[in-house]
Amino acid sequence: MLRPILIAGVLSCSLATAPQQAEAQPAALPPTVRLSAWAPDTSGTGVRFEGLAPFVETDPVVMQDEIANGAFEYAIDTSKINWATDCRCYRHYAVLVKSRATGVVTRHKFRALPSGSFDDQYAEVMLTITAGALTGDTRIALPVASAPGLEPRPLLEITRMRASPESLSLGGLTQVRLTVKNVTKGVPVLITSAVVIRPETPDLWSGMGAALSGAAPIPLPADASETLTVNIQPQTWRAIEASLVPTEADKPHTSFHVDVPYANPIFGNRPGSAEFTVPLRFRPSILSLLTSLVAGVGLGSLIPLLASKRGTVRTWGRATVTALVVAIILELVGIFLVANNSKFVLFGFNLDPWQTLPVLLLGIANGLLGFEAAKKLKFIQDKKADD
Amino acid sequence: MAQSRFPALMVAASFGLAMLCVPLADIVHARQTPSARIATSYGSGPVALSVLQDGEAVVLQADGQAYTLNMATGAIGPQIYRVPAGYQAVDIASGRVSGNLVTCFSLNPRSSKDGRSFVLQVTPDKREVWTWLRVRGVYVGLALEPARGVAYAANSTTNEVYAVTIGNQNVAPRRVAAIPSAVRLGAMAIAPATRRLYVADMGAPRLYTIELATGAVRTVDVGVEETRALAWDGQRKRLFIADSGHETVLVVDPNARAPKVERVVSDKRLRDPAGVTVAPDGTLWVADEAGRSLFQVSAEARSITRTVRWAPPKSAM
Repeated sequence: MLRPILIAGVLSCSLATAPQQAEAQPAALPPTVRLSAWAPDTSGTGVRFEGLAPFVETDPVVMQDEIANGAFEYAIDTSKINWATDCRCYRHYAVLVKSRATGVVTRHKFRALPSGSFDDQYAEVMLTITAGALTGDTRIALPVASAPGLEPRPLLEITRMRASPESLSLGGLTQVRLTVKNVTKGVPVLITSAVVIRPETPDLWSGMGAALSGAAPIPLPADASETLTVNIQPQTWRAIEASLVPTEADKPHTSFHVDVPYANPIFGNRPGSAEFTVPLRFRPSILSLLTSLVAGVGLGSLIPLLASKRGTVRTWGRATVTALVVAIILELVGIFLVANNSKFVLFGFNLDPWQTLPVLLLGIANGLLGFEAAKKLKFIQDKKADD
Repeated sequence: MAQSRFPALMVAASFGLAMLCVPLADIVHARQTPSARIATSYGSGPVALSVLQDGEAVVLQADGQAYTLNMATGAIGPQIYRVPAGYQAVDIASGRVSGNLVTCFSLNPRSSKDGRSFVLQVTPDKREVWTWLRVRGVYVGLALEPARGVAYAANSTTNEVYAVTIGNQNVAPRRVAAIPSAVRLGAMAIAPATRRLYVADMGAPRLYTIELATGAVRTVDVGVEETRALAWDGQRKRLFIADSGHETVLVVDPNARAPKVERVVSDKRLRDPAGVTVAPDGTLWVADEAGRSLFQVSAEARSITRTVRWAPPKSAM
């Protein structure tokens, strides 16, 4: 059975031995194989490859290229690379070499010892195969990665469309859409398991879950994106409590934390996670706002009725309807103004027409002034006349 | 009378309206529950195994999940523990201490910011004891001496071995031995009868024996390429070595005058032996990390007698 071989990119090849030498001196001993170190700069960051003793390979292997003018064929196997804490290295990269002179295939294993912090990527290294006087070298691309914990950034990046807090229904199910993108340099990434959602205030929620487009593991090629949909449903009373005090419209009431676990399949599914915090701001529905306004007007209009015991049910009704109409108009004006970046700040409290308490207060204020407004509009008679 | 009650009733009604009706609209259309997708975890290969009790072993997966293994049937059991995401579990050792089953993990931090390593002890009821290994470094090998309730951990940075008291995180780890000549201490195994600890050198083809009674250290040349695990066979007084460099399992009597290393099994299927343990019936169980398999090996027949593909049951996250 042919073993799977991952093909590493061959970048360039040079010949160091004349072909006649290859014919004159067939290699009898296993060839020596070396991989050069990779150092992207002079800071000491890079990878050093350490060779182990070669084996004679007995399984049939499909060779990928040749070197030293055909004296050797070779294949690169990077399918079994794992991080090993004990040697602080990735093992094993395998180079399979077939000597054309002897027909023997040998397997040469390497450990990669990373130093410093760098992105997972494919790096150019020099492969040199020597047997006796025969030498050939070629540039190949091998996957390299820094030690776990030293990655400069997660392999996945989570983003969302808006900069302001996500608006959340006080009682309903709200969907928050996030984008998960593979930001590596040509390395595929697997989203390995369920996305973890951690709310800032756990007892605020009656339900919380996240869904990707498919079942894990989800492969994500370089530069590809995946939509993550988070479904959240607050406990209404607690949500009202959390959003009762009027605050700036761009200030979140709470937040949740998203944790997307991933693995790099090239490096033995080396795990990692991309994290993101989503700010949330509760926003009641239009129906809730209207209910709040009606309740406020009703409450406000009862106070003068109770306090001075003036008016009858009929005049109270007219005054209340007047107050309600005025309140609705003011609310609509407020919504319009806020939509155009206006603010109404009273004693440091930002009165947002999209929040329940300010709307309730608006209703009460209008209710209190309902009799006066109705009189001005001549919907009701003066008190004496009314009495 | 009725007229005087009316305003009071209206006030009460308005309060009720304000407090009840405002969220009502939200509640009414919010009856559907968010669909939390329960996905399965995506694991990696097995890296270490240890006998927990008769017929049952614990297998550590590279990503820190631990599962049970029925050594009689080869069935992989449920996940018994998952190491917290911030830590890398390198080795496990399990057994019965003071009548209680315990599984120990050597834990190193994944992030270099928090450099604290631990020996974590977990009981079947998920009770955890975290013993902080105060000397910094990467801790690799782990061995358990159940009779004394002590776990031993090898620091591969300082080349020291520490003893940790099981079940009590307040007892500071005690240094048992220091081996300055070692390149990098790694896997360990213990011979409980003689109280002798065997420690592999990951950077050199040798291992060390440590007399726990006296602290004396002796070097044994075994010619290994890359030792990843050791297992002591108490019945036949021999040590098994998982050598991933040579892709084989070796056996040696480390106490012989001239220790002779022999191959137990060399098989194409066994490419990356990472863990080894001796079952009560005398057979070997070998974890192949890259091959994602467990192999049961007859040391006498020198062959693989059973292959268990590493496919642990999927666990809800």
